[in-house]
Amino acid sequence: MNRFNILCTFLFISIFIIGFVTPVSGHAVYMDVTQNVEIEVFGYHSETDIFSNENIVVYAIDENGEELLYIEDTLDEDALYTFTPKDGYEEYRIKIYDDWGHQEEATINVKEGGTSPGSSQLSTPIAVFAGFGYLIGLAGVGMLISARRKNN
Amino acid sequence: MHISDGVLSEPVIAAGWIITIILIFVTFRIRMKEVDIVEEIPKFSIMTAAFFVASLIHLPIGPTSVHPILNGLIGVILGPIAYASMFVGLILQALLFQHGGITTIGVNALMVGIPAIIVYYIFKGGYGKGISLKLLAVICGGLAIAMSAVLLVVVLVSTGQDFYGLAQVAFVAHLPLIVIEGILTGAIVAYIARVKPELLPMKLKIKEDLK
Repeated sequence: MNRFNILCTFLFISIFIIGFVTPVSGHAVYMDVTQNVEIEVFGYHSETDIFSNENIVVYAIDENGEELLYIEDTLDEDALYTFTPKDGYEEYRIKIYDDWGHQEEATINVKEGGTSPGSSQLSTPIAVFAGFGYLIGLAGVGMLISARRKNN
Repeated sequence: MHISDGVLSEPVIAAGWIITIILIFVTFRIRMKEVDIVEEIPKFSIMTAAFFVASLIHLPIGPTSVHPILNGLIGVILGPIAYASMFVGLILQALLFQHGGITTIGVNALMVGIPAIIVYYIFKGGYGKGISLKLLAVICGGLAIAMSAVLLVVVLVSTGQDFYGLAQVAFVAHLPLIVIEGILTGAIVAYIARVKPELLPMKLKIKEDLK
């Protein structure tokens, strides 16, 4: 194996391992919304980086789908916020955001109950796999065209 | 360096997309005249992969955090098509990691892509004038981040006065990254010059650079 192959192998392994590093906060914001008697909101970037003291806005949605600004506040130190549903309103749109433009939204219906993860997210390793898949595919197309040209 | 959806005004978003589409078209035309673009695709994919995962490295700085961007390195290696490479990387980051917004991909590409193109020509021109390859790589790596930070400030300020404070914080937060990326780019380019100089945009003429 020549030095360039070693370099390529090392590069691929290095950049792939990055996907498995735990504190991968980056920019994505996620939100878990849990409902018992009250509705609890938890905002976070990753397991180790939570959305402490950032902004939350809650809109109550009526039967006609019209939104009413219900709460405008901030999450606490633990990135949690709890509120009681407003009388006569079953559906709520919850938005958390910071001053950098990082934000996430979720909608919950109190009648249906349960827990609503704010976003359908791929785990980071799977997302890295997916991204590499696209790029390896792109490289493959390039090499295929190149090989065909050389054969002709 | 990823601006999310809902932050920028519509004219700024539209301008970002228009400039990005024009630049991707123009840079491909320029590069097609220089090299066989099909032969560049594997290299393009590797550099895009590096850009794609670089945003996962989280460097906490004060109240915020930054991540490596590598636009200087990608610009030096890929030349003008670095713009398209980072455009593809930003799409994957937005869709798979939710980093940055979908509507802001044009503006985000502009902020990292334009400096990448500029440093490519600085690198090539500087080397032609006999400046040390390693020194040039360090300068280009740092300069690309500095230019991106300035563009970020311009984009935020052009959106509204509410973003003046944020623009200042964002610029200061990227200052340490200028040093980090300068060193990183210098080290990687120096290593490539030794093991695979064909990856660089010009033929190395000075024997010292090949050691």
